[in-house]
Amino acid sequence: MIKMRKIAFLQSSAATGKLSGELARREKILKSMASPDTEIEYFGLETDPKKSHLGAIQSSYESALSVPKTLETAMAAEKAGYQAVIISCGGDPGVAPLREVLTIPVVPPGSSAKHICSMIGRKFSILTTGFGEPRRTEIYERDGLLKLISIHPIGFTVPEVREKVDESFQAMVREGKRAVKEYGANSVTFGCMSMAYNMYDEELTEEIGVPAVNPMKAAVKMAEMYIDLGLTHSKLAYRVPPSLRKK
Amino acid sequence: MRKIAFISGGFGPLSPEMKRRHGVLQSAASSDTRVDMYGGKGSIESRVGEYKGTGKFGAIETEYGLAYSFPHEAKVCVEAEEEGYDAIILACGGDPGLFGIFEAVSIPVVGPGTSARHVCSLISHKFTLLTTGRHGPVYHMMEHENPHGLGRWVSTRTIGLGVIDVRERPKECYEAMVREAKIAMANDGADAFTYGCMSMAFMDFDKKLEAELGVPFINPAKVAVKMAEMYIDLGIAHNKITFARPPNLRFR
Repeated sequence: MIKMRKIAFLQSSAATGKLSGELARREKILKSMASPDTEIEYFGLETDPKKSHLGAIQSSYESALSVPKTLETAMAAEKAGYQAVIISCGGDPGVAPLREVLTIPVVPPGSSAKHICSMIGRKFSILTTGFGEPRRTEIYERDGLLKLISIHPIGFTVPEVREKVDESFQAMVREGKRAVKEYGANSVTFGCMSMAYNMYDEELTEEIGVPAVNPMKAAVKMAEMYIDLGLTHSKLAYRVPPSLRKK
Repeated sequence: MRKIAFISGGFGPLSPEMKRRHGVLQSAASSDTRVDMYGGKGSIESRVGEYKGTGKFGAIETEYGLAYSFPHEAKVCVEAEEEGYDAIILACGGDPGLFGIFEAVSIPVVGPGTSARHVCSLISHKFTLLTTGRHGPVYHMMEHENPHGLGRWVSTRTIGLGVIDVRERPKECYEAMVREAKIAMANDGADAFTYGCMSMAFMDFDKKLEAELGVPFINPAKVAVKMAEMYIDLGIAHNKITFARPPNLRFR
């Protein structure tokens, strides 16, 4: 009898086990990415299936606002016996506080994908939602990955990426080609989980000639690795907050 | 079934130590993964019979050694691809010639050193690389090994023992690792560790060290197996534009 791994994909606004629509579609993809001996599901605190929904994080403000709920969700997941949790946003909001309160591995999909990019070449780029000129931001510098050379907003918001799948894919091809040609990227990854769930990666790899690493897929595999090897984050780096320590 | 070639072992039956190492690698693998100690075309068929050698095998401890190991290693990797392996793991923590092998083959190539350092970087604020070497910190390793561009790598410390010493004196090795790790925690602020040497990795001390010091020790050998599985499952490898196959690729 093989021991099952149990992984929670943290979506505080989802009703665990009672998903519909887009959330159900995403959970199906998530399950298809996991090994046969892995049990993985969307885990949230919503009890009413009618209110179960998907959010969108598009700013530092929204990112910060999402963290308290994610913390609650993650603590509930650890209590419920999950062996690892995956953050549901590509900006990895709350990875540090989550690690302070949990002892099971916390997998940031954005960082995981960026590290894979960093291992398979000399430099890499990020394609993400939003507008304007390519620039570095604190989200991306946090990992200390010096091989990250450029960031390319594709000119679509998160809801637009979800609705206009073909158009946003064309924009990603355009920006991906630019990353390869102008910046010399050896691979690219996505800064947004809606891009990940649109499953652009294989087609994009074909179009631009360098690997497109899907953060959702990377996170699932990393979570399995942590469980198999019995690894978790350093509790010296992420100490239990004084206010939570047992007296 | 995933098939992974660990580039090591040469020809003929495996020595007891190589068998033990194979066991460590296979124990980290999923049930549907097979790891072979691959030494070139025909090496797997040549494993039958009883081992009659001395049990001794080479160690890469210098830049010279790294460079010298490359031509043979490249040949074996190309043969591994031809024989249908899904991924390759290099056998030295210095990942000798990683980018050169990227050019030679199209299947994923896993540098155990690189992989372990990335995992350290994912789970800590700062990490230290513990490695072999009879003298002080080997700064030359930083030069050629931080093509990783890892900002969280704070220090490299040697344990004062050579590779052969590690294999022959495990107890001394363990104590030296504890000693240097404590210094790194106090002086460099390290909160996770990995090893620069595969002989240290195959000592399989990580869980014991973790229990003693309370911080993660990342084993390059085990992480390499998992990374290889991940690359295979996701269908990811280095790109063949940057790492184009050399036009003059041939071996004599």
